Amino acid sequence: MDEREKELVRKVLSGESPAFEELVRPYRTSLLHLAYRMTGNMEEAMDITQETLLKCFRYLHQYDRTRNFRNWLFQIAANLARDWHRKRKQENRLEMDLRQKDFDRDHSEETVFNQPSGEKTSDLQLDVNACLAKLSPRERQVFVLRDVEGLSIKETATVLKTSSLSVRVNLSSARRKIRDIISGQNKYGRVRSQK
Amino acid sequence: MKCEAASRKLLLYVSGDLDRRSARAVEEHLKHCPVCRQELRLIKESLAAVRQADLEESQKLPEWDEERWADLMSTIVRGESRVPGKSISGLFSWKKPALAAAAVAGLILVSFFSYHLIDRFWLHTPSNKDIVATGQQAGKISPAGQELKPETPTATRTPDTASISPRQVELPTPSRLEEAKPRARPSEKIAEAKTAPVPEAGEKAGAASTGSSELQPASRPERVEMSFILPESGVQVLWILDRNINLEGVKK
Repeated sequence: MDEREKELVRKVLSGESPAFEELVRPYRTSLLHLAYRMTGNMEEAMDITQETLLKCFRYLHQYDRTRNFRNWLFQIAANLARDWHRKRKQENRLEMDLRQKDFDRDHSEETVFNQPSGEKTSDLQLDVNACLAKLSPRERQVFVLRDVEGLSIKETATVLKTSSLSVRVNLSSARRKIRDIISGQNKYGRVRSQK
Repeated sequence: MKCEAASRKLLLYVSGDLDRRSARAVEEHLKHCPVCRQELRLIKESLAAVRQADLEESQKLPEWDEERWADLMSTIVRGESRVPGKSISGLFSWKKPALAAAAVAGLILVSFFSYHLIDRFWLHTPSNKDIVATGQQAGKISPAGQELKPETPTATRTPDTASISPRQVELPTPSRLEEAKPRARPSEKIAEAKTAPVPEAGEKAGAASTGSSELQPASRPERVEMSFILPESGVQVLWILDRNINLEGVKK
């Protein structure tokens, strides 16, 4: 955390609430992006981002200023995304099963590649969310933080409140699945436009 | 190192997440194994493809609408207290079930007291208890309260000396008290009661000590408010006892 952020945190805690906007503005896009990758849904991502900022303001007095402020925000967002996954799983267990079967059936034959309209068949775009949907929630969190957001293993473990060993295990598993998905698509040529 | 072990380590080697010793072992294996080199290439390409696709998709993602952002910031700052960490709304979050349960229990108790127990509650006050205790001890009072005349003045109790628990005596019900009024008044044995004004709650004990008192229901306030503060959380619970409001919240 740099000196400017420390000063802004001090201002907010002393009652200068407008300083909060200046504090979190640099991270609003990356927060939204992270939530989107973890949920695969823009509306949910927006809700999670808003809730993250609300919690950030509410619990700013508990923030350890020796920590990276962005990683602290990511931690809140990751927790909310995890809660969202759990809630969704509990509420729609049956529906999820049906959808998952549909999804697996569709995507086992189709692809995680999109073909932009009006472009050549060979010019394919990878659908990141379709790839991430094949991962477990934990693998997805680890993969997004490490390989998409670029956090280190240690930072990822801190954000997810888990051990580095757990991160390594889940990261290996996630990368293996991603590799199988992408290379499998290329190998067997089962490429079809989803749109 | 065998290919099976190497292929597992390649998943972390590709991003430099292996310790130095393991990384060297993998590098040694890669020098002699074209299959694992091919595997490493595939992993690298896959990760690069995801990152590239993410970069391209990110450019298409909607940006924050400035108006919405301003509304959000305003909502956050206004919705919370001025200083973070002193939020009032946070106290009643469902993530604090003890406080929520206490609040709900308080509301239920208010309803319960106001509907069922208010009469009993007021008969437990020292002045009322005193009258009842005196009448019972003197043995001159019937359950209907027709006559109230203690045998000796020492049988009377003051609020300070009353020691009979409300549970030890039979408390007259409101109906009994209502019955007592018309019967006691015409009695000629209690001369003082005919002329004496209806004593106030604080004067009950004094009236009883004279040995002749008309059994009157205590003057019960229409509405009483009590509040207490939970020391751990600072939550203040307010009880409002209104005898004119029934359980459904309808004024009688």
